[in-house]
Amino acid sequence: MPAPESAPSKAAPAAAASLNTAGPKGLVSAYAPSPGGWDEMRDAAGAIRPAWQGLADALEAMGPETLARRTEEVKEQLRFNGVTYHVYGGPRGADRQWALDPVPAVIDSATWSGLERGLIQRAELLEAILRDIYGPRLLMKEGLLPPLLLYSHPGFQRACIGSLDPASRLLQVYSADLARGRDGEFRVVSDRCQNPSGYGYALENRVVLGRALPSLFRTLGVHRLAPFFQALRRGLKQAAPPGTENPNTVLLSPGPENETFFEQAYLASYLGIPLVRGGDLSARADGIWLDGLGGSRRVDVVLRRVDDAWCDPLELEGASLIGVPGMLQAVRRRRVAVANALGSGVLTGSGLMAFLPALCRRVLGQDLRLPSSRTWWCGDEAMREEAMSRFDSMVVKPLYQGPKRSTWFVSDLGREQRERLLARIRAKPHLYVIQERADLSTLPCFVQGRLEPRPMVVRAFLAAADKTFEVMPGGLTRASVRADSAALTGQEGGISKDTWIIASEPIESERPIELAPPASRSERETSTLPGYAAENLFWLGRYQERLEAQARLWREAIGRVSQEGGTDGSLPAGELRLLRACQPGLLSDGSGWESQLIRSLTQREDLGSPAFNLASLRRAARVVRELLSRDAWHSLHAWEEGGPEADAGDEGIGPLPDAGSALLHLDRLVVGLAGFTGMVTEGMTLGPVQRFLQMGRRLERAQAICRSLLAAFPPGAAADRGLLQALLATHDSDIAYHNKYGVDLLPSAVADVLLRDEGNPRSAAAPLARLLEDLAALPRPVPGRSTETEKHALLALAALRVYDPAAQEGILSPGGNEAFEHVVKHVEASLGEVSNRLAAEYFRQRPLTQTLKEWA
Amino acid sequence: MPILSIRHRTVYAYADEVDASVNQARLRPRDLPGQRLLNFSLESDPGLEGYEEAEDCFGNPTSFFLLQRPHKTFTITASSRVDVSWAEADAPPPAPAWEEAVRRSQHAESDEARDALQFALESPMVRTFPGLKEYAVRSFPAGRPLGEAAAHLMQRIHRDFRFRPGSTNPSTALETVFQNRSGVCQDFSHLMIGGLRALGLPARYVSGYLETLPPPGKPKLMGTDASHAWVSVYVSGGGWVDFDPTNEMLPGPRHVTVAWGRDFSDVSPLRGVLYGGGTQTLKVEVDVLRN
Repeated sequence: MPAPESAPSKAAPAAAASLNTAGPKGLVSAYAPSPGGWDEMRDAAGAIRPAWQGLADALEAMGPETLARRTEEVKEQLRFNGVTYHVYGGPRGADRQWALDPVPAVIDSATWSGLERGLIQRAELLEAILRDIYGPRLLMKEGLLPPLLLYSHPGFQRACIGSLDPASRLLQVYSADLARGRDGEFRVVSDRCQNPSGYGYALENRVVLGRALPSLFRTLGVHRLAPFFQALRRGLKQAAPPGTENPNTVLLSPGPENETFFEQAYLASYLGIPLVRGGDLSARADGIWLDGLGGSRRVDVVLRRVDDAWCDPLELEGASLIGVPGMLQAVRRRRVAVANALGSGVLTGSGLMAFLPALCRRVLGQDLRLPSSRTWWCGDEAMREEAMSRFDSMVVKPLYQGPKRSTWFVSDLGREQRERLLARIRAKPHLYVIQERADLSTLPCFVQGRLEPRPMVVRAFLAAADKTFEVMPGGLTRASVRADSAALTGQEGGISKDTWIIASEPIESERPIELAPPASRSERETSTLPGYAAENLFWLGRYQERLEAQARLWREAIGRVSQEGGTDGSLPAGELRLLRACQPGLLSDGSGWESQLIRSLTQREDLGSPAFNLASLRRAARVVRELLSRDAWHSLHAWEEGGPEADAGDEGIGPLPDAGSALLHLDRLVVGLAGFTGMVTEGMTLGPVQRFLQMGRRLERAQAICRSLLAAFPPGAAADRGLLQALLATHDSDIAYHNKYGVDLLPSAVADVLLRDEGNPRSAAAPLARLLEDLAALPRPVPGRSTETEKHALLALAALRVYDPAAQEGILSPGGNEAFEHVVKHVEASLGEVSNRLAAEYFRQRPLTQTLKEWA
Repeated sequence: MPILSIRHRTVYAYADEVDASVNQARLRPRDLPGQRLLNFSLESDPGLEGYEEAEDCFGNPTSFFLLQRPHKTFTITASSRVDVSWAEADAPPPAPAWEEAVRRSQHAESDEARDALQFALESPMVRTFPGLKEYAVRSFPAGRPLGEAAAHLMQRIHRDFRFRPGSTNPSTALETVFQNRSGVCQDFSHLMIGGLRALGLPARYVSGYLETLPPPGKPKLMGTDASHAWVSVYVSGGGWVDFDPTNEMLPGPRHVTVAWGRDFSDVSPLRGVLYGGGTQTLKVEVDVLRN
């Protein structure tokens, strides 16, 4: 293969060259799945399956070094894109970086089209069952669906009875986990019906792998994923209540703490719909409304990532603070469409699988094409007895997998555990399901320089549109991290893979890879900016500015130590005061500045440290990610290239070996943050998103100058030349100063340039004037009336404009500091008010909900 | 024809302002073979907005409404006139032996019986606990007719438990009620339901009103009545039969049924979600008058 990625590497990196390679054999020839099972790449005789041949040839030609390099590129790209998966209970709720194996899963298109037909049938069947469950319940009356199976299912939402629209789709997105047994047949191991996740990750996998292996996509004719997402968009539009011309669609997210928040933001951005949380929506008499800055608008379609019970605290789970009270009634009266239908969680769980073959014959008049794992529901006596007779080779699950996802592999249980499980089943048989233990096929994964066979599960996705379902040609394949493990949920880790459906005949070559998500949205979309988003944008701007000034300050301080060579190498007192103004408690434990610097750059627990500010910045950025352009987002991660975060993902920070590398890191920070600013100011349309970011930066800049000046010149302290120089450099105003006043550093002139010189964009006054422009351009909470925020910003600016440091005698001398301090403190207080009023007037969210007391 | 007029007034006071609220009420009495609703009205301050009615999954009439003006107090008054023609019942109906009733309900063969099955399972406020089944089964010796056994259980609860308003709240676990041997009508009903279910019998929770009678020779005082709750037991083939463990009586023409469900959580007279409000205090007044 002449493809670039298969060319032998001329300059393999040293690290890759030292890998434990596959020895004399190539990657593929050394791959030896264990006999007896089904391997995806090699058949029982050891031959490469036809659909895999092209990939296998490419891998073989590539060799471990090149593949290792591709793996690094993939990893780097994922990190760059900020692809994470939130792990509950991990260290500090860690975001784990998404892991993608460079070797895709390949499924030949003939097998896949069989699966497609089976999946569509299954989706139609499940939808019909759902319609019946919350409607006439004929299947129960006919004895095809045991009442106890339904009534004891925690996902059965009684309140949803009668709420489903008989004419509309109920499952906009359906997903199924497929496993292939040793007989080569695919079976469904679980149905995901209420708010399936993973299709955003599947898309991201494709985008990233498409960059790493571009020519392979072309030559092998891999099916594109785009039709699925086009169908999803169409389907959501078609789901809107009748009479809606241009439906407003939102993605309802449980919030940034959710395990798949990355995917939610990614999808919102890709689909071009706002990401909202329950608190942003409210029920009114005529429907569900999105409230935000710039007014409110009615929402027609909600693509939800919130579970059934948590969607409506009025009629479902009362404790929910992430839902929308009144949503179910709005659904009932067709004022809003919620996808998937509220109540669809009842289809999840394995119990129903035992009844699907008969239900399929009754409901669709067809045999079930795509079987499930063999399943027995213990609530049925005959089924229970049959399963019990082969109990030891079985898997036992609760009727409904809660968040704990308990599964018992009977053969792994000790005698006592086994007895306990049996007793539990006997006590409440209807709450348990017994399944045959699925044996999983294996496929090659790139592990430690070689291809290793690992068990896999493929998650397939279907989107409803045009009265049918579009199956994503591909999916999210997950392989086990261990050779023997069947634990494959995202929560427990695992290796994800892109999934390639290889056409039997070449497809006409369109763009080989998916397009990146659109960078910006239409003006209409951004015109309603939820308060929390505005707030996080504002803080993103603040942290960015804060961090930038802090990094410059450290550079200055260290520069002065090395140039002026203080005898003990300690930081000058003035600079130390400045640093402490940002980070209280710095250097109070007597350790040297080198170790303190390294500590500040790595310890995010230290309040106000650069590491702390960086973590806060990232948190804010993650929440508003879908509002940032892709380039702006990337630039936020660009400085990490080789920095302490590079290897540790979003959570940890690697070691900084010495002060030298710490300084290098500081430089990268400053440049990286400047890059972000550029992307925001140049690359994003001027609108509320950019304005709130900029307002954060502007307010922070003005406040930082006040903070610095107050810290630099407490009463009694004198201004030495070095400190004045550091002040100017920290606030990036040395050039502005020298242009205006020449080389002599005069305290009153420094105060002028930093505080009130509106020609200096880094002064306190200049950004304040811009901030007032931003405020004037934004929609006001009460149209036509200026806000308290504006009033206080004007007060601060006026105070700066009337103050003339040159007219003040003895300024910044031990005797004259008090008057100066008085003015700066006054400005600082006004700026604090600006921040407070902004929060009250622009970020105001509705008060938290509570339920009405029901008992006197 | 005895006609009962019911006025059910609820007053909420909030420490902080409530911006808005979204509410669901189950205050409208059901139309039943022995009970006809003549009229019903809801009045509220602040005024109701977006008022809509619907039937819930048990067939109970429900009302939805919003309050959209900021407020610190909320008063809602439901007024109903009901024509009650239930016969006074003095003995539980003849029924099969209770074991037979359990067997029949487990092999439900009619729509009614299948529907009843959901009332034989645990529910949000009626969870089983050690000792409950043992307590209940003492009223259920082998072969005793279901109605007689249920009446016996009702009598024992009435005898063993003290009626003490304020001794429990909705978050009090049933087991605590059982241990403390005191509670209110909701608790006694939940307890009896739990006992019946522990034996495999479908039992449901009924919310409604009871006309109280003044002591002989005294005038009836206003505001002394309360909303009430009792129990209904499924007798396969014989429909649902009511028992009032709080008053040790079989409900008749003085009971007005508003709603039924698996337990209180299915039929709460007023549910709502408030934006804001802080601490809440709540006062309920019920008057049931005969005219």
